[in-house]
Amino acid sequence: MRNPFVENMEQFVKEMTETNQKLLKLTDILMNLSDIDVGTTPKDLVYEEDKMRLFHYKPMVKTPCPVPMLVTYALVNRQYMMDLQSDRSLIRNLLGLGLDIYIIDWGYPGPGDRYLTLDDYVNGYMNNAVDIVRERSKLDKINLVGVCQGGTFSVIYAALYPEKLRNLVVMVAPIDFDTDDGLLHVWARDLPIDNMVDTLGVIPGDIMNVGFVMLKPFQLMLDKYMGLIENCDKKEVVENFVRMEKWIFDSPGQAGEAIRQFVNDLYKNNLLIKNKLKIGEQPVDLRRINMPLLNIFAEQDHLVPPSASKPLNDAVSSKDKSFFSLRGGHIGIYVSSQSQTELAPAVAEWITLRSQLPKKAVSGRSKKARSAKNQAT
Amino acid sequence: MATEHKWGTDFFEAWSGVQTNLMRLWADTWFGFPKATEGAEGVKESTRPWGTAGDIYNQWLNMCQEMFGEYWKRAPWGVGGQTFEKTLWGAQTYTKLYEFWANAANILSGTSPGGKGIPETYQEFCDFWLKNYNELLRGFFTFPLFEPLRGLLGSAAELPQMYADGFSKFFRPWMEAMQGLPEKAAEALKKGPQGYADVYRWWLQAYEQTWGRVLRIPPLGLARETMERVQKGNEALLNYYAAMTDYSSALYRVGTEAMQKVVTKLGEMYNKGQAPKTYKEFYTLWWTTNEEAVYELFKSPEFSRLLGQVVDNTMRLRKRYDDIMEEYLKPLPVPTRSEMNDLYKTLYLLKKEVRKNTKQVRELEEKLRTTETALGKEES
Repeated sequence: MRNPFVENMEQFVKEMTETNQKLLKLTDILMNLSDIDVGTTPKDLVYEEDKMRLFHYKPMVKTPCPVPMLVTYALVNRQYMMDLQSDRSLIRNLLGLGLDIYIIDWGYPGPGDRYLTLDDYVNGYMNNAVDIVRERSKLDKINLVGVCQGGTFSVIYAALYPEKLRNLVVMVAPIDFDTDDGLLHVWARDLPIDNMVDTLGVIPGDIMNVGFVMLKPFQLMLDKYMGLIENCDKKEVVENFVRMEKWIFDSPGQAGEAIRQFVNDLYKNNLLIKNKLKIGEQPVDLRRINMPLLNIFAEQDHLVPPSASKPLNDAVSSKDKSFFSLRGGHIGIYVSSQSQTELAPAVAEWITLRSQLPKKAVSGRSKKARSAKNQAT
Repeated sequence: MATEHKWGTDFFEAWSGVQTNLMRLWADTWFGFPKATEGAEGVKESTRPWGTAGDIYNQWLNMCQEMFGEYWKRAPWGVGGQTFEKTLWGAQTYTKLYEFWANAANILSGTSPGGKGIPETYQEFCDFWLKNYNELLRGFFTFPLFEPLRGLLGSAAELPQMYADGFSKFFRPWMEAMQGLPEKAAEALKKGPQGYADVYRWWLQAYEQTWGRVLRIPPLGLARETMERVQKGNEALLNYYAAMTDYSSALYRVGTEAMQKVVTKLGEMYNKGQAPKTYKEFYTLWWTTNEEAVYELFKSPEFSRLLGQVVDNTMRLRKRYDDIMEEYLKPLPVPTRSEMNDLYKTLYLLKKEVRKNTKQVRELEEKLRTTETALGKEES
């Protein structure tokens, strides 16, 4: 066997020189890079409770969809992924297509949040956010859009409070956890989550990130950065890379008791799809989900494989239910060009078609009447 | 302020210019050198001026890392610095891989001075591989991540070395007294990381049956509780080492197997006249083959179990460490983690209670208002 490089020394030197020149160019761009912006679409803070904040995006059309949608993102990573860069923002696109959007920001749990449970998140923060949106829109039912782990939360919520939701959209949400298609599902079976929570309280985001980069170590820890050097000629490319990098490593810690239940009851025992999950004292029965359902998944998702998302449609009693699939992976669903040209229009159309209100319903109910109803319930 | 800004720009431009000139010189030298020495037998890269091309390139990268590492420690924006550091690290790994492969392939192709027979060359290649590829992987698993992660992943990669150090400093006198150790150690050297794992397991078993039992004798007297904590901490440390050894040896095994696959693929490609024409092509073949290999490992239940064991033992060690720290912190006027946890729990329960009561009060107020309205209507 001959050494394929000895005779190509000149080629190697040429490649390294080019790489070096690109590194210099990259250095120049990075040195002059000001703070990068993420989540720039204008929005107002309308409610906050502990570290959770509820934002309302400023509508971009004169007459937005009459039923607002509330976006619930995962506790892992930050919700601004959906509005990462202004020219590829799913949120901005949906606003432009006429939707009225609220979004939950879960914040960054600190040591004092270690005792927060899934019950606190779903029956507490999330339910309060839904009520605020209902109150502001003067509607009994709103649209709920759950993303990733936030999709799991939304499905749980829809099963607990079907009377508050008009439509349910879930994106890349794990529902059936008994699959070998994603490494997270395989690894979670042996994850000593009880020991982790007992020891650490709030699980640091950095530990979660180790798990995520280990899913594709050579690509995510090495080739990605070589790719940046290769493509550093344009300032926008570098800026967008840094934006994505910020999002990837801007990881909140996980409230101990909540992640304990999420791993034990969902990843390990798969109780949700079996209708055996309990949130607080309430049983979660997916058959109670009767509103129209749109289930969106990414065909090459290595974090939440389609086999974890698709079974939802068979578990609910909704008559109007459909799938929408996108080529690509978990992240591409928010930032890819396909996401902007195909996903956003499809979601906007699906929601708008199912959000037309008769005149009486639009007039809404008073806060007083709704409270009376809640009390009676 | 304007002057400062200009100074910064001038500085960077000057620095950038120096680097560009340096690289041009480097490139010119290396473009010209092979031609100048063409036909000269026995000229090795290491005998060329300034070391190998990779050496100079690495020196440049190291200088940048050090320079910018210091600079960015003081810079407020953070994210750019980390990206830069990781990018440079990516470039360095890229170069290191080249060096490894070029040297290994030199041996395999029989271009070493004083050419040897096939068995000897192969043996030399294997020895070089064992010695250097693990070093390369070690570099890979200590990539520049955030500080807390470096320890976690870095320790996995450094474990064989840690183990070896521990051997010589603390355990060696006892180990040498143990029958069969020399044979085991020799075996470990041949088997690489897996050998270390086997020997460590063997050692741990021997330890637990002998000295471990002695050291677990319940302490007595005033310092009993403290000593017991320290003992448990030691045990947790040993178990952590054992788990990490198993885990990292699995990673190294796969890394070595992946490199074998790369070599096989290259041989096949070479025979078909499709050998990589550029280093980039080789690099892509290398990382994609490795990625496939680790994926096969990672999806196995065996790896999941190893990973679970590492995390479990890391947590146990951390818990013991926290216990010992709390013991030492007791006399000081600072709250411990346990005390803070008690406080957090009390606060959490109180907040929950307050929320529940507030909700009930609001509902009662609404009920009262509704009743009053209804009564008012009846009266009117």
